[in-house]
Amino acid sequence: MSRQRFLLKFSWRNLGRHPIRTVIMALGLAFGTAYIIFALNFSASASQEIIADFLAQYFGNYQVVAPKYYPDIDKKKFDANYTISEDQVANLPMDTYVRRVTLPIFLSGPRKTLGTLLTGIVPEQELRLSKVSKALSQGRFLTDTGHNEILLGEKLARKLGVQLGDEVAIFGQALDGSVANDMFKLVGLMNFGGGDMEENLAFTNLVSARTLAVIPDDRFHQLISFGAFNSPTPVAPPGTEVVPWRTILPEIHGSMNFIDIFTWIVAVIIVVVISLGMGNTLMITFLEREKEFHSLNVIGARSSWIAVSLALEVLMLGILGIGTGIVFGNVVTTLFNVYPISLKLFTGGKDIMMGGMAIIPKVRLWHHHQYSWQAPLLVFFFLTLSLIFPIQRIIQRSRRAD
Amino acid sequence: MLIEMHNLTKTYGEGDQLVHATQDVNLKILEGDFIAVVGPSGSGKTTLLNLLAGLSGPTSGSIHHRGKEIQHLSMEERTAHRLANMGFVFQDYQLLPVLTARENVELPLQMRGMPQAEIDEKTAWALTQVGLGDKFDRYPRQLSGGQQQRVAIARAVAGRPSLILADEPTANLDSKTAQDIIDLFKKLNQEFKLTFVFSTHDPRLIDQVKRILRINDGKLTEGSNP
Repeated sequence: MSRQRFLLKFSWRNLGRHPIRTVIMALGLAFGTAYIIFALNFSASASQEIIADFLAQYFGNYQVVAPKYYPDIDKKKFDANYTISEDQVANLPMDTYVRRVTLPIFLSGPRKTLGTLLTGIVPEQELRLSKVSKALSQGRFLTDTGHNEILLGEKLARKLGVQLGDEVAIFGQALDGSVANDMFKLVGLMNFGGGDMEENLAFTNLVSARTLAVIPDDRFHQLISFGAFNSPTPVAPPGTEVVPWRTILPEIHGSMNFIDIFTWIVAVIIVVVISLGMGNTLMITFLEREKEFHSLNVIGARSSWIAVSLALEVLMLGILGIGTGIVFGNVVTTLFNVYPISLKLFTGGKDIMMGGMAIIPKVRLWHHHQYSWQAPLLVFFFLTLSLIFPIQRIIQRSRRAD
Repeated sequence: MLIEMHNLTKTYGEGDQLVHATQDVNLKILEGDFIAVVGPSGSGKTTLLNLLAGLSGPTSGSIHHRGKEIQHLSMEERTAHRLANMGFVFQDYQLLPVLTARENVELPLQMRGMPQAEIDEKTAWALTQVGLGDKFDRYPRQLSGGQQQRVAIARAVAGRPSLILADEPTANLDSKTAQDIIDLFKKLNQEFKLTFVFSTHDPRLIDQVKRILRINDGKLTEGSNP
């Protein structure tokens, strides 16, 4: 035990030989570790908040639909003939769900007739759970009892040549095979940041949509969850299918994954650069003390003893630097949790568009605790690699006979 | 018999570049010997000490330490052999600057894995013998050159090795301090029967030794003090 204590003391004091060099190396490790923790937290938080905000506007976290509602695996198309009933989903906790009917229709105004999507919503539920109502720019939102009222995206209204208070004609196909057609009054305009959604979405209340498409009162197309982001998906009730947002919007999920992976790649590059610097400094340290290592060998120190003493120095330096970095990285993360970062700083003041919608401008950093050990482990791994060359030299030197 | 060298030859290079650092050296060192190896620079003094220490192996011949053949040991085994059986004193002391006098002396004993109580006892004994009983906790930078060499001697003798090799131990010291160090070597040899082999040019040290080994062009001859 005293031998190990002696070795620890020896290594610790060796760190103090060049205090400025030791402090610089420790600071390098601290800033590297802190940056990686911060960057990973930022990337994960930004992804999470952007997606959460985007999904909260319209798509929701997951949908409960009829199994054949999305006929293709990629969920790009839907078949409005397949609905689900209130009885089928009665066991789900309804306080975080909205019900919707979605119909492909033609909208006809004075200027044009355009194909678009009519979404039948329950205004009370949307006001409480989704951010659809936040996109209202003119007029008023729908009411649960309003008859044949419609909200249109600003771009869509312009193309159709209609204004608030005007009527538009809708025609399409009802679920019973008949022609669905009726007149709807424009009560509000929606602004989704000028994206595609403004050209492709129209909203009416669920009652009007059901009447138009001849859908029974207890049936609808989608039960959409607006609960906590990334909350676990429930087991699909019998005769239904649960489709998470990742399946409906794979390209957005993919791009977020790419950002996460890219952040990790940058983190690894930073760590490699740091460890190259560390390796170089360790090599200088080794060369400065080569005579001392030789003398130690002469008085009986095995190469393993010398290598362990050097490794302990690096270990203690790592604990100092990386430990400081963990604290610093988490403090900075906490700081930007209290004071969220505006993404507009990175976009020249413009909105960030996603899936045809403008998304939130601020990101609140959240602690992803796995990064507090993953990042240090990464730094420590490369720090250990930087020891290979000096230790190899020590071993080679001790074995170099004659 | 402590050390026995038989037809020990060490060469470097090959062909026209072949150099005989030592050539057919036959040498016996007895327990308690006090020997100076003398000769001009490049004559083979350092090579002979390196062969004695096992820091390098012979090209041919054999070397036995208390009957144990050491030339066939691996480098790691020779290191372990040195740790257990030899002490070293260097011209420039080679103390570790981050360790105190006591810790420098402890170092080889710690590497041997001795119990701490035994280490403490041997360290105190060695530092007292070299006259530094009141400077245990001084760092090398807080000691004079002579005091540093005394610490180095204490480090070499603390483990009571069977052989102590000293390479120009007085070369960096002033005349008075060098004489003190020579007297210290002599005292340790006489009182504790420690065996010393010096590589030296210092006539004061050469005058005090029991045996003189002259080496020239790798050939060893036994000399004596006039």
